[in-house]
Amino acid sequence: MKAFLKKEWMEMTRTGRLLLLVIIFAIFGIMNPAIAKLTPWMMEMLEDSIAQSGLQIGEVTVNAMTSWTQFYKNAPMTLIVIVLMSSGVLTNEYQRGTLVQVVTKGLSRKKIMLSKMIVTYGSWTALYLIYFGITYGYTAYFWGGDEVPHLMFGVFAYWLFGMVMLALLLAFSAMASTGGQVLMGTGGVAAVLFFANYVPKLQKYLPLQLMNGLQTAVGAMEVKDFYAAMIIAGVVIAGSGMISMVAFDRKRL
Amino acid sequence: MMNVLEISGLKKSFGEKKVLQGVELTVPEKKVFGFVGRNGAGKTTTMKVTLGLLAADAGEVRVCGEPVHYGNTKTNRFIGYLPDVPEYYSFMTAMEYLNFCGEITGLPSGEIKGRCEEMLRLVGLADEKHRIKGFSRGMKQRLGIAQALLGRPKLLICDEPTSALDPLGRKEILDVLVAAKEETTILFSTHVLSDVEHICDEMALLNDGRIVMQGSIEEVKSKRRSNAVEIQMERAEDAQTLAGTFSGFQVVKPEVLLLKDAAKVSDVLRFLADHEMPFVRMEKQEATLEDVFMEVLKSGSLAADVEGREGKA
Amino acid sequence: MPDLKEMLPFLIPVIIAEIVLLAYTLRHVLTHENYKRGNRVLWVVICIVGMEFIGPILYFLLGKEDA
Repeated sequence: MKAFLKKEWMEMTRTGRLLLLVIIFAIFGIMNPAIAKLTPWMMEMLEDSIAQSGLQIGEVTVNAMTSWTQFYKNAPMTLIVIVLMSSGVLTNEYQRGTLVQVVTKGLSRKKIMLSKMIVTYGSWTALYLIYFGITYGYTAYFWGGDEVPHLMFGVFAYWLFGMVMLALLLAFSAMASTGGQVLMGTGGVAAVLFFANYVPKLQKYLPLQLMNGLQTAVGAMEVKDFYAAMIIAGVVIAGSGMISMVAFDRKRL
Repeated sequence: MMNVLEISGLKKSFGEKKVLQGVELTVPEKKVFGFVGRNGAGKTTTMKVTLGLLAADAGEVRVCGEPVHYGNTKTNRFIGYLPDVPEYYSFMTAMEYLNFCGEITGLPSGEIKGRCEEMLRLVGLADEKHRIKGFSRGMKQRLGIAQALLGRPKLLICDEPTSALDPLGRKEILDVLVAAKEETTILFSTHVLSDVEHICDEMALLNDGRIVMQGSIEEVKSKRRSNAVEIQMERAEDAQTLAGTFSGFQVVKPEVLLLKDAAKVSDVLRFLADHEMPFVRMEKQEATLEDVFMEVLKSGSLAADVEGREGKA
Repeated sequence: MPDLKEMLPFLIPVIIAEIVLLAYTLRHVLTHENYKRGNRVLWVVICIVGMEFIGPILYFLLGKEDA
């Protein structure tokens, strides 16, 4: 299994996928505080048109919260990027037939699946840390004095939401045969979640709740509002993991 | 002698199409076994079932005495497999790929490097430092043999190893297979009969999802050889007379006849002598495998061949 | 326009990252003969137009031939 992980690493670095992802996540991370910093200037630029529309705007204050608002605004983009880039994690190998050799060499399918999980979850975790770390660094540098309540908790919740989506992606990867199908499956589940989110009673339990980290920071929600969704998320991740293992064992390569 | 591979009553359909309809096959140890059949006869399917890559509908496959299961199968540790179109991680070099294979096969780590180098030398890729990306078809095929043999398998399964190659590449592969014969049993499928004649000890013919013939190359050939005599007459009209007089003649060319039943030869000779018909040559036909197969395939599964196989088994 | 000096901590890394990304992708596009879809001109245009990050992502996802 170590050999297979080594191969995955080699693949990521040699095909340039790692470089691409790191750069994209770094850019996203830089953009958050940069946009916050630019907000007053943009407001100034827009002042005339806003004034014409009859709105009055007061002095815009920019602080750490502005930067973190951007962080949550852009986080879905990072998640979309990682989902897109991971959609072929198994299907690319099915289509090229490279796993046939690995399986007939006697590497157990469970170990292959486990390696793929480690790689997928690992890249999301590492890249998300880059995204978060850069925003955090800049924000601390410019608005270091500002207190953001429950910052780490909200950031963690979003990470967990990403893990849920990737767990689903892996389960679909174990069953589907093309990257397109995987994306349709994962996107489909996401769409169902968004519709279900319109039912107020459900909101509390849906993993989508985990995207609302900002609400705890501004005080609109409390940490305990997330617990139910977190438990559900854990169940979904574990369940998808088991489905992936079983499905991949029976998968035709 | 132990049988490395035993297949009994193997059935498999894809939807309506019955690909395998009760395949019976045994491959003895230390032989090069040719698995012959037309495209679509079910060769690849049989091999994939043996590797646990496809689920069988019925029947049993045993490798070195252990049953094969679909999905995760332990028997794969006995097998080296070369797919018809092998695909590799193209971002690796040949050496890196073999190293990777060695590690997942579970070779002792001290041994891997030496074994990889040995294999690369065997297939003539030892000096190849480029990534697999730029490899030609033949190079990929040779690397395929190297990776298949790496773990010292008891059984090497090659799916049409030569069919996509030019004559030179084909010869290279066959040479490597002959060299590998020292170490392992080889089951290789092909629709190219000359390859079988060159390197195989035994063979089986698969047609319409059944094994219609199995035996050593000599046995298979002899089924035909004793039965046919070719006669070339000097004059075409004599040939016509001859064909008119005796039953069982087949007109090949106007002056060339084929006598299927060798028992009639003496009668024919007497007839020729009595009528003073000059002939150019008369010879027992050296059957090529091709002839045998054409005949078998035409007549479906010949009762005689089935008996012959059961007699041996 | 805010003080340019104030923006430098953002601009420099972003510009470096963008340039590396663009250079890497363009080099890849130009050194490969075959693409899964589209042709060289198309991908060069997409990479430059969508240079922020969309272009390269699209290329690596849709255009890059399987190694």
